Parts: sequence; C-alpha cells; structure tokens
Amino acid sequence: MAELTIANLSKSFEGHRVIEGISFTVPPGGFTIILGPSGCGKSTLLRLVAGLERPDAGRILVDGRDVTDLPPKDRDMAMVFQSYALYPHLSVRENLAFPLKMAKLPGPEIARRVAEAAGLLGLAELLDRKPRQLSGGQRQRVAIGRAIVRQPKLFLFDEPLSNLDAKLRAGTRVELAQLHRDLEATVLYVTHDQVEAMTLGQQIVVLADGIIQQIGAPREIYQRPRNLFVAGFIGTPAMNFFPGHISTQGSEVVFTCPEAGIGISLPPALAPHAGQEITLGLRPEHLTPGAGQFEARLELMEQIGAESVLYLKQGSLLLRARAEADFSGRHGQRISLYADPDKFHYFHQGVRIEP
Amino acid sequence: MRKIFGRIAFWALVFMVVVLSLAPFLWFVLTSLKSQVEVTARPPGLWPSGSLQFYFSALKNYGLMNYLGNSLIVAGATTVINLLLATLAAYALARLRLKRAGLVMGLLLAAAMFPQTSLAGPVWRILQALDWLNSYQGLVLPYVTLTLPLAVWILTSFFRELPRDLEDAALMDGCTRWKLLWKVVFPLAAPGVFTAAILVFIYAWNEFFFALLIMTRQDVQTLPVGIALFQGEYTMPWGEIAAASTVATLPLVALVLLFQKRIVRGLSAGAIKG
Repeated sequence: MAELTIANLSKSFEGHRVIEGISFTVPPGGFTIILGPSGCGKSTLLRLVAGLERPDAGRILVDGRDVTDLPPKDRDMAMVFQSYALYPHLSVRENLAFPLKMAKLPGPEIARRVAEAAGLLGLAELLDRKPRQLSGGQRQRVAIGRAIVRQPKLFLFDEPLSNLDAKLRAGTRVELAQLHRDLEATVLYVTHDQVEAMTLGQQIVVLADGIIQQIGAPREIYQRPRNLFVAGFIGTPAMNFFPGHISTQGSEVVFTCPEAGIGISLPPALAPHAGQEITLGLRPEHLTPGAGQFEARLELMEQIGAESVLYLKQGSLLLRARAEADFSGRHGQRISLYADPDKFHYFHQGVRIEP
Repeated sequence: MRKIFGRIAFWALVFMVVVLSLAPFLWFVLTSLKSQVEVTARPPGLWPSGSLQFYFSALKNYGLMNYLGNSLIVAGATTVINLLLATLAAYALARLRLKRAGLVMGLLLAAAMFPQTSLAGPVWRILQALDWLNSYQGLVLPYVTLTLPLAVWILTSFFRELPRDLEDAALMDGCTRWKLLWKVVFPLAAPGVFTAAILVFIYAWNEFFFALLIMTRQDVQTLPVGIALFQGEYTMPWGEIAAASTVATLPLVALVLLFQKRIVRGLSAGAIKG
C-alpha cells in the first residue's frame, strides 16, 4: 500500500494545454477515480503518473518519494490498458510472467506468482493459450493478472472496462471492487463512465478541460456538486436547470424562470441573493408528478422497469422527471409537477451557493 | 459454362506466367545436368542424362567454392549491418516524436533514386582513397548504403502498425527502451524484418555492376562476377556456367520458399488490418 500525491501537475502538447495545476492525493489503499468526458485530459494525467509522459510542471510523489523524473520501470506501478495490450506473441503464462522476468525474479518464484494470479482470476486453464485465442473478458483478466503479479505499490487503470459488453462490464466491476479489497491496493482509475465511478470509487476527481472541477466521495459529488459542469455531468438522466433570478416580494423570496414562465417560492435563507441571476438545479428524482408548483406538457415517456422517466416541455425548457413504474400519461397531456424545495441546487455564475 | 471457360482461361494464364518466368531457370538447371556431348548436340535435346560432371568441373577448375564463399560473406554482412542500422532508424522514424520524419523518409527515397552508373565513379574514388578496393568491406559499404532506404521504408511501415499501447505496457512492465525493442517490437515486426532481410540479401547476392567494378582480384570476387568471368578467350563453358548458376540460385529459392508466408505478410503490411 502506498500513498500517491500529485502536486500542481501541468502538461501541454504543442502549445495546447491538456491539463493544468492538478493536485490531489490518493490515500494508502484508496480507490480514486478520475472521471471526465473524453478529451478532458484524464488519460494524459494517468500517463504522467505512469511516467509514459513527462510533465511540464509539477511533482508526483509515491509515499513521499519524488518519482517525477524516474522512468516507468523504476516507479513500481502497474497499468491496465483499455486495449489490454497483451503481448500477442507470448502465451498467457508468458504474458503474466513478463514483468517478473523483467524484474529478474528467480524462476520458481515466478512460477509460484503466476500460478497464484491465475488461480485468483480463474485463468489456470488458459495458461498455454495465445491472447488471440481468448475472449474479451478473458483478455481483460490476463491484463489484470499481469498487473497484480508484480505486487506493485500502485495500480493504474485506463478505462479497463470500456471494451466489454454491458453484462460482462457489470460483473467485472464487482470483481474489481473485490480484488481491490483483497489486495489492499492503492488504485488510480480513469473512466468516462459515471456508473463505474460512483460504484467503484472511494474518491472521485472530476476533470474537465484539463482542470479539476471537484474532488470528493461519490455521494458528496452527487449531492453537492460544486459547479454547473459537475451538476450536469453526474447523474442520469441529467439534472434539470432553470435559469432565472431571485427577488423578494414582501417577506417572501421568489425565484422566477422566464424561459419556463414559472415562479417558485424559495426558503427565506436565500434573501441575500435577491436581485442575482441564479440557475436553479433539480435532479429528475426530485421532480415528480403530483400536486405541485407548475405544469408541463408530456413529450415522451421511457419505462425502465422499476420506474419511468418523463420528458416534458414547459415554455422553451425541456425537463426530466421521474415517476412510478405504473404512471400512465398521454403524449401532449399537461401534468402537474412537484419540485422538492429541500433538494434545490443553486448556482451563481456557474458556482454552487449554499443558502 | 461461362464459369468453366473462366476457370480454363485463368489456369492457362497462370500456366503461361509460370512457364515464362521459370523457363530460363529450368533451361540452365537442365543444362547443368547434361554431359559435354549433350550440351553441344544439334539440335539440343531437352532431357539431360543427369551427369554431375559440370558441377565437379565448376568446383575444381573454376573455383566455384571461392566465389560462393565470397558471396555468402558479402551478402551476409550486408544483410546484418543493414538490418542493424535500418531497424534502429525505422523505429526512430516511426515512433519518436521527430519533427520532419516525413522529410527524412523522402530524402531516403530520393537517395535510392540515383542511377548506379552515376554513383560508380565517386564510389570507386572513395574506396580507392580508403584502400578498400578488392576488400569485402569495400563491397559491403556501397551495398548497405544502396539497400538501406528500402529496408528503412519497409520497417518503418511495420513499426507504425504496432499498437503503441503494447510498447507502453512493456515500459510499465519494467523494460528499458532497448529491452522493449528486443523483447516486444522485433518479435512482432518479424515478418517485416524477414522481408527486409531477404530483399537485401537477394540484392547483395545478385548484384553485378559494383562487384565487377570494385573486385578486380579473383580471390575476392562474388558469384555473379565469377560466373561471368568463367568465359575464356576461346572457350564458352556453358555447362559449368549453368552448374554455377544453379548453385547460385538455389539458396535464394530455398530462402524464399522457407519464409514465403512471412514475406507475403511482410509485403502486404498495412494493406489490411489484422
């Protein structure tokens, strides 16, 4: 188990800034996810930690030791690639043994560790096959096996599940969580899949445009997104946004959204923000059919088993709401909606404000 | 009906191409197995009596082994040195973030475009100044230079095809750059390396012009030159020439047949994925 500290890391390619001023710490035995849309710089960040790229500025520390200027082989990290990157000319056994041979471990020790990893991942039957004779899920296991035989200080995962089909992905996700617990390993894991991030991560680093948008536990990021980007990026279906402004009418605080043509009364604590332009955010599960503050026209309904997702239109705003599975409605029907005021998120100039 | 006709036409065409390209080869192989009487017979007969007389004669009277040895040394050294340089250059051109890699590739190609006759004079003067005329290195140097562009081009396209993730994985698994080349890149680029090696070897093995120019002493001459000089002022030893030519051709045929699959894969690299 090791602690990874990243301090002020920046990198640009040919004048184009990829990441800037990235700092965070992965605690010993921690599972940290770097989550962001494609092109946000998350893979570059992982490659910098691995030593496959050199940063323009900033330091990378493992257990307090500066590894920024070390080549990958001296960093004691193992990486699992999206493409698995198995050596096609070597058998599964040789693939698993490769990092150990490079480390010049004695033969019996190599055999012991390969057998151990193969047993752990259910690869014992496949040891003499070549990678091209394996299914996607099996290749994935070999790739993970090649990382764990080394018993490295740090595991790096670069979107390891994105080439698997949906069912296999869900299964492997659970196994990865288990593996992390069993190995007590420190993990840095890159993905664009928020389900992976929410289920696997103990800490999530949300990255966009090369800068950190928010760092926190999955629940914290979901419940208290720090800015409009995080609020919109995390959660499916995405959060509803109502652009508008706050005013006071006597003792009452009122939020008006001209686009939707609605007004909602807000908790008095928001009175200091009167006169400000505000974006009100509300997750679909907190916008439900029932006697409420406003009406909207039903455009589309998706039934997804345990519940239904409603797509509605009010003024020029498209809204998403959640309903019980047995909810029935017609296209074009006007539906009254209840917005739970306790669950409102408020953003001023893109940044979260607390009432 | 049309299908059958198409088939017949196809095989007829294949047969014609094979006959046309193999006929000269077949003729001198047959000639080499004739006796002196059969060679000079009028009209010439097709089937030889299977005499090995010309082979013994070529070995004993014409120093075939000497030429064969020289050819092996020169072509072998050319291939090894060429591949050492070409793999490193090609890997650099394919992988490292070099600016103007395209320009370097273009210049290499341009260098390969010069007609040999225009190079002959300068090459001879340089070798004379080095006192390398009539030496193996005197022939290997121009051969390596002339075949390097071809090998670099073949290998560069091969290295470019290799997934970058594989190399990153090897670096993560504890390889240095050199080890990565040796353990991962070369084995995977083997078809390309074989293709380049065989093409270079064939060039050096068959080359005549420079060999004739640079090697004026019989004890260092290579096969093509040696065979051409079998001919005396008043004699034309057809049988010995045919026997020596067969001996000179067989290693190439064996080489190509042995590595046929790899060469085909090598020559079509990049044409299709996988």
